[in-house]
Amino acid sequence: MAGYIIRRVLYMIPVLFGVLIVVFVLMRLIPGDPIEIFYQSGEIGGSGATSREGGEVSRKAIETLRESYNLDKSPPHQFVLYVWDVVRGDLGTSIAYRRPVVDMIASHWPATFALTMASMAVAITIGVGAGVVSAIKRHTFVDYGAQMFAILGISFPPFFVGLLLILVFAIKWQTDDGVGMLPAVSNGYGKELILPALTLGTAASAILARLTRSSMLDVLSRDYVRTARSKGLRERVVVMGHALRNALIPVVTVIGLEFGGLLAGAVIIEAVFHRQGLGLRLIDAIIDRDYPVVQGLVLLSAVIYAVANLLVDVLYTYIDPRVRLETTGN
Amino acid sequence: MGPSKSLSRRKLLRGGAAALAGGVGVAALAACGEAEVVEKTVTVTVTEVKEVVKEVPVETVVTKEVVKEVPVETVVTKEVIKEVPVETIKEVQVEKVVTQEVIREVEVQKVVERVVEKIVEQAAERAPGIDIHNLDSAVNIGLKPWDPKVGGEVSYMTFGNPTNFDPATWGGRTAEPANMFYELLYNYGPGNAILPTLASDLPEVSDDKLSWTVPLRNDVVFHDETPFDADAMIFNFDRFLDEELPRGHVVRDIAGISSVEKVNDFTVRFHTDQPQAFFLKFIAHQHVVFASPKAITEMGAELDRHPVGTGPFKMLEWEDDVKIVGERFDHWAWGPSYLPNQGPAYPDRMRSQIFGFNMTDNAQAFEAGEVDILLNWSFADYKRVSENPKYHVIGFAAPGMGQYMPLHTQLWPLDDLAVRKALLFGVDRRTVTVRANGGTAPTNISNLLVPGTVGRSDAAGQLYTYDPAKGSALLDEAGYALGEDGFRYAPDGRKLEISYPDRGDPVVELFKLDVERSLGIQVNIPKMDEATHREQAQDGAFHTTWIGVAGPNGDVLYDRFHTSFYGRPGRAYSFFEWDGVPATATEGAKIDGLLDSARASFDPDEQRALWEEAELYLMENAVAIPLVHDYLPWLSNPDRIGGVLHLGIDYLPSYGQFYSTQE
Repeated sequence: MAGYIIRRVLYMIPVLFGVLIVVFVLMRLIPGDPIEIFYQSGEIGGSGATSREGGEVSRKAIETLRESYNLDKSPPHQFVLYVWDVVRGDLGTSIAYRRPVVDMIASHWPATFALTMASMAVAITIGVGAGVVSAIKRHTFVDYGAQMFAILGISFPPFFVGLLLILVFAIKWQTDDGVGMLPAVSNGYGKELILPALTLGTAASAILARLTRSSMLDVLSRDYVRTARSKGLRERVVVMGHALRNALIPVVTVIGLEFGGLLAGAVIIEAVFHRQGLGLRLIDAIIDRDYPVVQGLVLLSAVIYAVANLLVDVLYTYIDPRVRLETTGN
Repeated sequence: MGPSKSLSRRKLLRGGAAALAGGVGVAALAACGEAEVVEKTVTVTVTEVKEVVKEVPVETVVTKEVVKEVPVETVVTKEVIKEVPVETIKEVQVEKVVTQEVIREVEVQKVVERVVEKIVEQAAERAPGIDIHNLDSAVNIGLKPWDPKVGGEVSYMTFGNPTNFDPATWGGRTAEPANMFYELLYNYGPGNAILPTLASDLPEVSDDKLSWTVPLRNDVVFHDETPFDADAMIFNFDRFLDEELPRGHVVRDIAGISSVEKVNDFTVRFHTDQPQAFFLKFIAHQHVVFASPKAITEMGAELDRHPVGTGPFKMLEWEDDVKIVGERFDHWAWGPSYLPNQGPAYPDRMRSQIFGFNMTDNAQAFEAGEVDILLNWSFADYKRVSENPKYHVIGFAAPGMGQYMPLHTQLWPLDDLAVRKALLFGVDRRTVTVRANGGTAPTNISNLLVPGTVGRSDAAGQLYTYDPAKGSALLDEAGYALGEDGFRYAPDGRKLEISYPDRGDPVVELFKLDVERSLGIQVNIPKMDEATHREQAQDGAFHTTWIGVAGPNGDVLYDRFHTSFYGRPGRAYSFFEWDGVPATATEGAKIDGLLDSARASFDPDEQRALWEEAELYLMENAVAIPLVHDYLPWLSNPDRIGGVLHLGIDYLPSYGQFYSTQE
């Protein structure tokens, strides 16, 4: 097992290096100079409004800032310096915020992680629950209702669901003080998490519900389930003890992949709810052409995705004792 | 027996089902065939007639047959008669439909015209429910008499996370929340006059106009209770002027200052490279604020997160992308004389709530009670919110150039004055403008400088009135003939087309439709983001765009039309009288002479005359299409807060003037 994990970790290195190259090149292909954007940003009045401008930025000031971010060097030289910094654990310093990217990740990561985990909890609870019930109550109204929910969940884009939830729970449904029952702006870890987690989790739960249902139907028709029933075991024991564990094997794979999907979805949902996570920061960084932040966050996403997949593989051995991870990597 | 019985039942059922299906099928076929039988009957009758005619050798029989044919012919005739009116009806219907569509189109046009007229009327009357003021006003935000209460919390929105709070290095929109913690030497007050804040009086300028002596207040302390004096100011300016420091937005506001010297403990003297009549304009801009030298020295990079200034609130908490909370600074007693409260501030806490740029989300957050004061420039949202009597909607209109479309005077075909003039005559600026702002904006379609801006030329406003026929005539005279495709072509065969990048401006499509329909000039509207647009625009790649700049007087023309500014970052688009060399004034350019003279002048009347002449000269050369005197709408909840909202020309709120009405 240990050998397998080490091998997989080593495999990640070329993948992450490839990700770095792609992001590095793509960011530099997009028009817009980060230093000029830095000096031009910040009109207080608002988008499209007339606002007063200060004087002209001196060439010397621009050059000094450019040098401090190595942007005066050729792109290959910049890349070598960047990779060397990354190897040493330094993801660079934000051009717009003058903060180490590692610090920014540290301050924004908890919000994204909490949202992802809460969404995952929503997805698993609703998705697996609905899938199991749907399989047991096959071809009943419960089954049809659950399937309809799954189709709706897959069909509605999460940002739309988010806006609907805001409309209902934050605007239409208010306390006597004129405050929404649930906050529209998600800035915390309590009730602030409810709406964005529901938004993100619902879409994922729809996929899990369909997968769990089909997997459960397959397992429920197996001989060992019939044997369990013929032994006179109660139906709940048969379903929960014998069928569900086996039915979850493909579901766990999808949950692992969904984790990455939820992280990606969090980028949009964080913008809808203005949640202070990595997604919000990533969008700002792309607009600002803040190269170090974009590179750092994309690298982080790649690492998380790879690690999540590895964890799923390891988790298999616990769910299905027949699976043994070989050090050959197969 | 059981199985065979069952089998026979199945067979029986299958047979019955087959029979039923067969029966249904036959019935269906029969039903389908009935109509054909009728038609065939007629055909067969005709066939019979033909056969009879061929076979009859006897005349009598023929006669009989002829007698038989009569009714048949009659039938045929009837059929023909029946078909004719059907076709006739069809033709009539087609004609009617065409007529109806024409009528409908005319009606739609009339309705559109009426709607546009109505929108224009509404705009002229200004939007009901919106309390519009000039930017220099202090507006009673709670709609109740001044009755301040100490305590509680007031929340004010800000867009985007501040970058950091070191005045020497910050960027982005940091100046807005930073106004809680820091203060300027001078601020814009009533009448857009520059008035002292941390300074005790207006500066004295030396005879050679190269030095400015600024007296400072002697009662100001920083949040760490160290004094604000000449030494503190010079310490800060040494950093602002340090070329080796990766500086932020402050470098834009200290342009032209070469050094600062101490005269006495509370007086400093600024030295400039050249005479600068607009020294105060820059020094009173958003970023020239001062941090405690002790804090800068001892805190180092920590100052980025924990500002130590002289403002009405001290930093309490900053949660990235969420909020910045300040607590009342009890020593603050040097508030602006032109506002009701000189100090200290009333709320225990001031919360700057950080929002994104999704206006609908922000409006919803405001309605959900998550912030007391909100800026929202989405017309759809604020119109919806303004219908709620609970809220106070305040529109702040800025002086300066308003929104306008610069015309690239060096790029074909706009290098031809006739084409530029045709655009100014031919574009329905009133409709385009009104449409741009949701039908609610005050219009300014005649001048570059909006009403209330010092140096606005009345004569410039008389040059172009909407007259598309005149615009077309100008193009005809210049030799641009209309082609079969409805677009105009130059004598050398080139199609007349201009580019207007679509960055989400509300006028793009309407402008395109209007110009193509009225003048036959094709308008290309490539879609792109702001960074891409800026990079290409400063290279002069596009014919026009949509921009604006605020300012109290005609000096706002300088940044946009002085030739030394063309091609610089964010300063592109017109290129009027440009010689193609970036960052140097074009020798002999008349516009440079006028604007430089105005900047060098210390005589207000002379300045005014020079700006008026400059604006008239620019408009005579049709360098831009003026569009709108815009305003931004702020929303407040009078049930929760009181006090006055004063922004000044830089939209920086005076945080010390609010109070909470909540228990």
